[in-house]
Amino acid sequence: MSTSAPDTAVAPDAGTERPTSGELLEVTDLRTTIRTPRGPLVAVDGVSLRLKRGETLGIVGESGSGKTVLSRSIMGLLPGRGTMLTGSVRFDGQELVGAPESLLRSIWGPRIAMVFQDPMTSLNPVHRIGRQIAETLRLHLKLSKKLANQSAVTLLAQVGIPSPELRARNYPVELSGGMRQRVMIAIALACGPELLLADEPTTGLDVTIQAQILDLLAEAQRMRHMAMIFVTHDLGIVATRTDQIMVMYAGRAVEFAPTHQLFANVRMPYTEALLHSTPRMGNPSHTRLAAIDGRPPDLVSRPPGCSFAARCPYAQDKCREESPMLVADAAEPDHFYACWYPRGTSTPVHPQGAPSDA
Amino acid sequence: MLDIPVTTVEQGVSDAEVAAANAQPGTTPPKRFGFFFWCCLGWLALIALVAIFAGMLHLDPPNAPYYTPIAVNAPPSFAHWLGTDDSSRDVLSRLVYGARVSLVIGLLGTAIGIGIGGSLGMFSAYVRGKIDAGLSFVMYIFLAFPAIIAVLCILEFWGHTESHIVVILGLFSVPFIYRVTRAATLACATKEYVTAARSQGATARRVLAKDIFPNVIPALIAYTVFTFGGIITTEGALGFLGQSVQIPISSWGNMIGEASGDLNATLVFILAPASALFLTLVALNYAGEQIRLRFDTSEQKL
Ligand SMILES: Nc1ncnc2c1ncn2[C@@H]1O[C@H](COP(=O)(O)OP(=O)(O)O)[C@@H](O)[C@H]1O
Ligand code: SF4
Ligand SMILES: [Mg+2]
Repeated sequence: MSTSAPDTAVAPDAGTERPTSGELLEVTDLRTTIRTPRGPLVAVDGVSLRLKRGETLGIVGESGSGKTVLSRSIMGLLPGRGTMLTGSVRFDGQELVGAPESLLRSIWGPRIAMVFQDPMTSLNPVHRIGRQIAETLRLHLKLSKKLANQSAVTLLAQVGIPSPELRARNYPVELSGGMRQRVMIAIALACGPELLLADEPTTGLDVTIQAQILDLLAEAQRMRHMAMIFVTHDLGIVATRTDQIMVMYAGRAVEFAPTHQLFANVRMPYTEALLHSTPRMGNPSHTRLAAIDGRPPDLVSRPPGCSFAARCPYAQDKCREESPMLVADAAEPDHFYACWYPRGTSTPVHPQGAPSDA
Repeated sequence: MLDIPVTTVEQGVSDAEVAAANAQPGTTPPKRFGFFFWCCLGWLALIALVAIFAGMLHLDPPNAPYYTPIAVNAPPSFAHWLGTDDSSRDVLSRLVYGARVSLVIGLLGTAIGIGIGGSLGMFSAYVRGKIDAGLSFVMYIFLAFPAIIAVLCILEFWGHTESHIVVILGLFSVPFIYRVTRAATLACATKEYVTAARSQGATARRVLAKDIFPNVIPALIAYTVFTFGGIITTEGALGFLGQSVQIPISSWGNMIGEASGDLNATLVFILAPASALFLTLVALNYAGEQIRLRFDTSEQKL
């Protein structure tokens, strides 16, 4: 890490005045229903989670499992019409579900920010990138035009863009995908958010660039004591960069555990299947990946029982009839899973048994 | 689309990535407008200048017969470059003043169309819901209507003055502009960069003004040019039918109509307004299409 950030940073560095520990986000039984021509689609179905300041939560699941809808629901950033949100999202003690848009707008940017999946489409093609960064600084921090432009250049330097003064004058179309994603990160970091939601921020990128972006995010997070929710379909990416992992399937949390416990003792067959379909560092690069057979269930008319039953190699009759609840094993009180016939072991894997966050 | 040969990369972006980004096809600035585009613009500029400064060209009065020597249907000569018509009026003069009529009707009509259609289209796409559905329904009915017949009927009752023609043709271009603007705004409103702007706390008004409007402008410019051409064409058709501005005032359309009804007219009398109209329409449509292509980012990426 040797980002040569000029120290003229006008952009606020978070964490100077704020508490650096303690509960930041508490999501309880969040449910997002989208109206579709075929009927209501429950894209997020009763998800609960907690996140402390400075911590990272990974949300993993196949495409279509509801990760994007969940992260946007947490933020309250939904396509208003035809979408219904129930449950509770408490951010730093403040309820966001049902909060007026004006309150949300004052939080979006300076307190919660998002990095979007596709850097090709999430920057406005008609404005110079420097201006797009400066815009948010002027809006929230009421900086003068000149100051905002200077800060934008500083931010570009901080996210590792060479010759930032020149690049600030570029249009998005003149930058590569990796550089655009750096710009997106600069915009998200501009007002020093306490929580960063990164929705598959590296999915469209080349592997080398992917690693750089991940390092950049980790660095920014450490420097700013920022909490992060990192959404991905790739278990490999979150394995070394998160404190906890939530595995999502068909809009539900199906396994939830501190990262080391999850990898030490996978309980849910779906997580197991995901793990088998994840490229490993050690494997030769052309090892064939076992894709998970079949498709996720229809979220408009969800079949009874376990959502994974149709694709699960261990499914039995009970699975098709009764829906398993998300429960913790007595031996691992931090490790939650939703399965009638879990894999792994229910004897303590970590004899000290100390829950990392009780 | 990113197969960038990066070998050893420290923190930061390698030179290779920068170079690759600059070299990527489709991401280089779009190529310049061609020669023909500038020819079109030149022709339009010429027409506009001539129409504006018609009074300073020392032409014969366009609407009064030229008295001495009386020449009916005279062929082109030094005194009358394009000859005279059956009432011994100077054809060049009528052509120039006719351009004035065509362009003024086209310009003002387009302004009405863009003003009303453009703002309704953006408004409609922005509020969505019932208002949008209602407005769209009304507009589609108007689009389905044979406009020229409606225009003929209305003018018949209301009188064939220039201002009436402007208003009617302008109003009939509203649904067309409305549809284009609404579609462009809708396409833009679902773009990720609009959500991204919202996620930074921008108000809806700010998003509409700073993120959506600038992206709608290129489409609007192109269709402004098309509308302009469309109105001139319709005016030409009305003129040909004798339903535009009334003789002795000339417009290109009624000059063609007049000449084609008169067996003794010289060929120049019909060719001059017809080619002026034709060239102007070609120029407008070609220029409009080039502008549309150049600024249509979605097609650029393909
Ligand atoms: N605007 C929408 N309209 C209808 N269905 C949607 C919409 N957005 C998402 N969905 C549905 O919600 C589910 C979850 O989608 P998403 O959150 O995008 O998944 P992921 O991000 O995990 O790939 C999918 O089944 C998708 O079809
Ligand atoms: S509950 Fe049954 S079907 Fe579902 S994951 Fe467990 S074993 Fe498989
Ligand atoms: Mg997604």
